[in-house]
Formats: sequence, structure tokens, C-alpha cells
Amino acid sequence: MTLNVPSLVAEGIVHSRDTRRILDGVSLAVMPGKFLAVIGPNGAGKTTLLSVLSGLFKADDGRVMLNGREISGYSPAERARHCAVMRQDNARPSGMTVLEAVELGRLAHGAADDARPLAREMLRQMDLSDLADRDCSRLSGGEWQRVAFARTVVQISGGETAAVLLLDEPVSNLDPLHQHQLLGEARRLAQAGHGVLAILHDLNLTAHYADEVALLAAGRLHSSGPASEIMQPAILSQIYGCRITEIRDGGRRALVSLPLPSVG
Amino acid sequence: MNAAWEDDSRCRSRAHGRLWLLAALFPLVLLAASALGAVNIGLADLWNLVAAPARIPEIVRAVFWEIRLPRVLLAALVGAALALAGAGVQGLFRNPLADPALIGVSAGAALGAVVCFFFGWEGLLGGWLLPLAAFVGGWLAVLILGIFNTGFAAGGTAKLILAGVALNAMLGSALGFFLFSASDDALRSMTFWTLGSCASARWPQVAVLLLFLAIGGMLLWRNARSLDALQFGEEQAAHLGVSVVRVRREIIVAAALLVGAATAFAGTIGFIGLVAPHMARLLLGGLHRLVLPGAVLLGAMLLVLADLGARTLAAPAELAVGILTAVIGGPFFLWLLRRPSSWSA
Repeated sequence: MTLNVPSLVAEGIVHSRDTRRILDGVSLAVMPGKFLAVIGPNGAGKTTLLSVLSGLFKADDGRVMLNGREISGYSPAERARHCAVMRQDNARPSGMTVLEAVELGRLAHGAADDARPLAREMLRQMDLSDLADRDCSRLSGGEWQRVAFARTVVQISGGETAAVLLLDEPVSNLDPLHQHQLLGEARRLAQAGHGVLAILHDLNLTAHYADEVALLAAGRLHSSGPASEIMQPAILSQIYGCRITEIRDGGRRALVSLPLPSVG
Repeated sequence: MNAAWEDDSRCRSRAHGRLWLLAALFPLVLLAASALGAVNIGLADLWNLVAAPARIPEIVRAVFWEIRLPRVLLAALVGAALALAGAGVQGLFRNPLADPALIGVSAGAALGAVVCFFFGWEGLLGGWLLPLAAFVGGWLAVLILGIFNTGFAAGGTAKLILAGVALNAMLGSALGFFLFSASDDALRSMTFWTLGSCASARWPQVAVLLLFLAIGGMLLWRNARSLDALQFGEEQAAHLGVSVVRVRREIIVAAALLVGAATAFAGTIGFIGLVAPHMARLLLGGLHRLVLPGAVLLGAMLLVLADLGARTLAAPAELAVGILTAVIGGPFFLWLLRRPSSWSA
């Protein structure tokens, strides 16, 4: 597969729930080898977009193509081998160890698949080996989020072709160190040829890790392009409705959001 | 790091060890239940029944082969079927209070049986009309639930549970009407039936139930890994490659087959479908490749013991087995719950 053919494409996605239009003509492409961040205010339609992109919701209009084939044409197992998704609402089972939870990432690969070594290797990479035999119900929120990420990565590892990784706020519960660890791993997967899409809220992490950014607002794609172009204080201030400025420290820059002037 | 891996395998092998222990206990329970009863049969005589039947009095042979053994086996199969259905339904709904009765099959079966008693049809077709009516009643209830739930395809499990509650309430009303209008004799039969009994056990019933247990068990077993994945939530399971709607349908069909057949031959027996799977989880952890066989063994043993109590405690009279399932299983379950960490390291 050449690097300039998108792995996952959405064209003109329209999605409504009841009478409310949640997505209104959104188009974007996840390219192999790229980390695409989707940002935007709460309620912009980011999670719904992820559900449509992953084939869980059917779009009212528009289409989603995964590796050149309409995503609705895939069986769930076949789809899972090409596209792994980490959701926000990820229930934590009890009576299942961390290792067993990560092994379930290989569910779609059939009974002959050797899930255990892959799961162990993934836990080692994520510094989770010490938790391997811990019951999932006894993990902290952050630990569980890292386990869920490990399961998502294991789902597409060891494959011959490049896959797509869709992550919904993967670092929302993590401390700064593990935010960097997880997003660094996601970027490494992108550099290895996979297409990565992550919904993020932290603007600095977005600016640091994303190759490209899609800015979603009120169900529409406001703008998209290279991270350096989109992550501009003027654009972000307008979209988020609060003042976002840039501070510089030596060669580095950081985005800071300032509270609105208090009223009364 | 390596130590952690070893811990994990130790932890799992302990669960496997417990499953083997249950499997070893099971024949002992069967043996004990076969020996005890209105006519006690010693262990040596149990052996002679197979090895040297001529040494055993005719009457004891008849009691053992025609009454005792089929009854013990039917109790084991009924307990296994109820527990298996419970394990499937609880895994599907991710709800510890889910009971196979939730999908309406028990109440539907009860209505079928009660209608039979109401019109005095229970003896028709050589006594087979009663189980048939119960089975069909159970299936009609599940079918109605499926129709209102768009073929169990959409709406998620929360709606399905609520629909099940509503359906159970409606069936309960219909049941109440027949109980209220029934003659005293019919009422007595109905009450006894709804408390459950393995007294009707004969070899044909055992064979039919074994067939249903095999089919239902196979349907659940092939979905064991999917049930594991469903513990992350239905959407996440779909992303892992589970065909959620197909799995949901297969689990419900399996539960309806298992509970429908068990109820048809033994009446409504509560508690086992709810509690045996939990016992299995507490002892073996949450993976369904352990929970399903564990529930089979625990459910079977619980009902064999409950039935043993039903036919011996008030002998020569007979208690309803439904009265005893909770009496025998309840304390064991409370003991399991009390222990701080039954399975995990």
C-alpha cells in the first residue's frame, strides 16, 4: 500500500439523532503514517463522528470507506482486524485479569491466533507488566485507560497490512507522564505506517503529537490541515469561545487558555 | 516482571483446579443421591446393581432403574440447564441480577402448564401434553418479547430488560386469573407445579432434556469468548469483532431452549439460574470458558441435593424442590460472598 492512499475516508457524513442533526456534511481522511487529531468543543459531534467512522452508526448521508471498501460491507470480525477503536465508555469487567482483557483484543483473529505472547509484549511496552494478573475491577481509572489502549493496539498488531486506530479521548484520565507515553506510542504506530485518529481536548498535546488536525464545531468541519496551521490562537479562541494565547519559552511554544473576565 | 506472569498462571491454574474439583465432586453427589431415598441402597449394592443384578431383590432393582436413577439424572440436567441459561443471560445483560426468567420464558411456561391444569388436560398424550404446553408457552413469551424488541436487534439490553419486566408482569396477571378461577383440585396441582418437582422423571424425559442441554450448551459455548468481550460493553465488543445482534439472539434462543425444557419437566424452579452462575464466578473468575462448565456442575449438584432433600426430609411425604433450592444453596452462596477475595490474587 502506498502512503498517499487514505486508509479511512469519510465523505459528506450526515448523521441525525431524532430531529437533531449531529453531523452535517463532515469529510475527512485518515492517512497511513499520519496522526490525525480531531478537536472541538463539547457537543461538536466528535464521538458521533468516531462511531460513524468505525461503522457502528450508519450515516444518513455520505459514506465511509475503509481500505477502499465501504465499511458497511465488512463483517464485524473482518472490520475489527483492520480498524481498532478505543471508546470512552469502556466498561471494566470483574473476574478478568489485565492480561486476559488485553488478549481479548485478538478476538477477531480466530482461535489459532497466539494472543498471549502478543498481549504480554504489549503490556511490557506500556509498562503494565506488573499489573498483568490484577483483576480489571481493581484498577484505577488511569490504569484501566492504559489497559484499554494496550488492548486496542494488540488488536491490530502483527498484521501484514496497515490498520486504522480510532481513539476517543485516550488520555482523559492520565497523569502527564502517561499522557506522553500513550500518545508517543500512538505516534510511533503512525510512523510504523498505521493511520491514527484521536479525539483530544488538550491543545498542547494536540500541537505536539498530531501531524494533522481536524477542527469540528457544531457538527461541521470548521477547518483541517497540518497541526501548525490549525493550532493558531486566533482560530482556537473563536471556536472554543475563550481567550487562548501562545506563550514562548526559548524555542518552544505553548497554548494557554485564559478564563473569561468574570461578570459583576 | 516474570514473577507477575507466573502469578497470573498460578491464579488461573488455581481456577482450573477448582473446576476439576467440582467435576470430581459431581459423580460423588450423583452416587450419594442414588443411594439415599425411601429405599436406602448401600454402596456395595449400588455396585452389584451393575455388576451382579441377580443378587439384588427385584423391587430394589425396579426402584433404582425406573425411579431413582432417572430422577437423580433429571434433577442434575434441570439444574445444569437453569444454571447454564443464567450464566448466558447474566453475561449478555452484564447484570448480576439478571435471571433467565427475565426473558419471559419461565412465566410463559408456567402459564402454559396452568392452562393445562385448568382444563384438566395434564394427563393427555400420555402425560406429554403438560410439558409440551409449558415449553410452547415459554417459547411464545420469548417470541412476543422478540417481536416487541424488533427481533432482539436494536434498542440495547436496557430496553430488553424493561420489556421483559413488563412481559413478566402481564403473564403474572394471566397466571393469577387462572389460579383465581381454578377448582380446588386444579389449584393444588398448579401450586405444586409452580414450586417445582422432579417426581415425573422417567428415561424419555431424561433423554429429551439431555438433547436440549446439548444444543443450548453448544450455542453458549461457541459464544463464550464473545460473552467475555461483551463485558466491556456492547459497542466496545462490536469494535473487537463481535456480531452483537447474532450473539444476543443465540444466547436468548439457548436460554429459552434450556429453561423451556427444564421447566417443562420440573416446573418453575427459582434461585438456581440466578445464583449458580454467581457461585461459578466467585470460585472461577469471570471468563466464560470457566463460568459455563462451572455453572453446569454447580447447578446440577445444587438441584440433585435439593431434590434429595425433597424426597427424604419429610418422607414418606414429598416436599416441593423449589422450597429447598434456596435453603440448600443460600447459605453456601452467602459464605462465598463473605470471603474477601475468592478467586483473584
